Amino acid sequence: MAVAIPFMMYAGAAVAVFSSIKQGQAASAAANFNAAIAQQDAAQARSDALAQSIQIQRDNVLRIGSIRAAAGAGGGTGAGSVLDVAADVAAQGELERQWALYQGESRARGYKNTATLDLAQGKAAKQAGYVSAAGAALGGLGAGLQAQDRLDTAKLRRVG
Amino acid sequence: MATIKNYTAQLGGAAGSGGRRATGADFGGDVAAAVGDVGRVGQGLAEKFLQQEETNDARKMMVGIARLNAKYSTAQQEAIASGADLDKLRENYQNELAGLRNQSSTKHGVNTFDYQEASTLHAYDLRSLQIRAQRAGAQAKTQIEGFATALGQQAFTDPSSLEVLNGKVEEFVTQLPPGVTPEMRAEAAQELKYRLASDAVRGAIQINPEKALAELQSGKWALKPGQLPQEIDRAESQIRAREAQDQNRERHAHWQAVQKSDQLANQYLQQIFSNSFNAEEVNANPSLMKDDRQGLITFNQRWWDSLEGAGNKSNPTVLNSMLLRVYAGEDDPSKVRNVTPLLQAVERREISVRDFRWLNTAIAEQRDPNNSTIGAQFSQMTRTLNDSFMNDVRYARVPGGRIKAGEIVNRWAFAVRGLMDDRRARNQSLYPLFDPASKEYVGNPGFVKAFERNMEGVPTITSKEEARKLPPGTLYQDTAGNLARTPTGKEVPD
Repeated sequence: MAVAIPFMMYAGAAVAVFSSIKQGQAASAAANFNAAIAQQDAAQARSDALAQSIQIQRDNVLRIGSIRAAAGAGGGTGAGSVLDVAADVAAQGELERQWALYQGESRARGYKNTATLDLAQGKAAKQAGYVSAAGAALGGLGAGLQAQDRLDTAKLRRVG
Repeated sequence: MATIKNYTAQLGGAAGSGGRRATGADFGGDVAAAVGDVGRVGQGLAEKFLQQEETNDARKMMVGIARLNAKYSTAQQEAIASGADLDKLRENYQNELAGLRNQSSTKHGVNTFDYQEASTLHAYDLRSLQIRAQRAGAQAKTQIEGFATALGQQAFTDPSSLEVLNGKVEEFVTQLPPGVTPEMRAEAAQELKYRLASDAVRGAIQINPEKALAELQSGKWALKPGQLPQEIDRAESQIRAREAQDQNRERHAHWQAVQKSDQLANQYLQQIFSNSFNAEEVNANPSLMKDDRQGLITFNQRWWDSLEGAGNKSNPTVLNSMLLRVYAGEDDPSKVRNVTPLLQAVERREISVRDFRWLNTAIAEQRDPNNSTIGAQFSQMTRTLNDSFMNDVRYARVPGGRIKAGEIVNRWAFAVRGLMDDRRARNQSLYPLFDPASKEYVGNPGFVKAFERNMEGVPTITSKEEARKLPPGTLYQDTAGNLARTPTGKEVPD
């Protein structure tokens, strides 16, 4: 029984090493997965902003069209104050469209950053798993060698 | 003017991907962690097993050492008496210890063993030292004892050699075993000198107690403190013992002379009865005491007087007294043990020759171991009967009554002696005479009363011819009142 004790310790250490590696790998995989999702979210945020800017542009065209129509119906010539209003509406509409694009880009940048961080985390988790495995291997080796030493009485024997 | 309303779809503001973020658990991280836990539990178990192994091993070592310790302590104890080699014993002990140590399976066990071994061997060595010291002491004691015995004998036989012997003591103590300290040597020397002085004093007391006493009183002998009074006592006792021994020697010589004279007197009495007596020879015999010599010569004359019919009658008081003295107890100083008092009584004409003969026979009978039991019973009964009559108011308070009482006892005793002689002649046991259950019991009141009735029924004869006409064994009295019995033909010769 006593002879098996160091081997039990070595086996335990091997299992711990395996476990540490596997834990690092799992954490790394999870981070990579999260990074991919964040990349997708970033692309989606851009698409969403673009679609929204197109809608805002359409709204602006329609709004200027209605101003012209109203001015024409009132006998206006399209000069003076009506033009000033139409120009202002067009400027505000463009601002709104640009704002929508900016917001989309901002969200996409946030997702991009998250993806970058997740990738870094995944790499670090993998490294941590290896380092932990190395620690477990060293600890197990030390404990096993110590156990062997505690059981090694051959050199202490007396010769009658 | 009709106004046509425009429709614009509401887009934008879409949320990012939904759902939660992935974790390590989603990729088997928990399983790996659980596997890691299994590994660590395995390591912990192994450590526990190792610790248990170490504890058991240490216990095994301690128990083993305790057993060996007990075994070799006993062996040491036995070695005190057997004188076994302690070094050899220690070697065996160490070998057994090494064997035990080699059985250890852990370093912890070995360390525990080494710690215990150090203390147990130390204790063993201490005990061995004590035993060696005891042995050295015992060896020295034996040597001292042997020396003291050898020289003590010399001091005893030749007390004057004490000074030379004391010189030998000084030389001897220098040769004692090396373990003996100078103080112990000095003490041993002093003790030996005291012992030699004591032996010398005892020798001197043995040789000449008076001189030794004077020397003791003058302080010549260097004795142990407190011993002087004892030795003075011893010297005085020795002086007294010597005096007592001298006295004993004289008394023994006298006793031997009396015995010899008594033996010779009885031989001469047989010569008188067989008519071969030579008075001159008796007179010239130096082994006879003066009283016996004189008594025999006179007795011879009385014997011839009685044969010629001029015999006297015993004085009843003297006869009774003599009878009681003959049958007195062994512790009675007045007991008659030899013929001399009887011869003197005959010389004084106080007892007749015939009474002398049966009293002398009674003395001889008491000396005979075969008759001593019967003699003792007869003696006891005679004394009882005598006491009874002497204290009887009919005799004790009447003038001349005690003489009459003595006479009754004398006659009873004479008659019983006759009956005893008859039974002996017929080879019959004498015990029925003294057995109260027997018809022939001589203490029977009816039998005793016959002697009280002034010898009624006992015929009085005036000549030997008349006696011959009586049936054999008949009790009769002569004119002087002496009792006799007609012969039966089976009498035991004198």
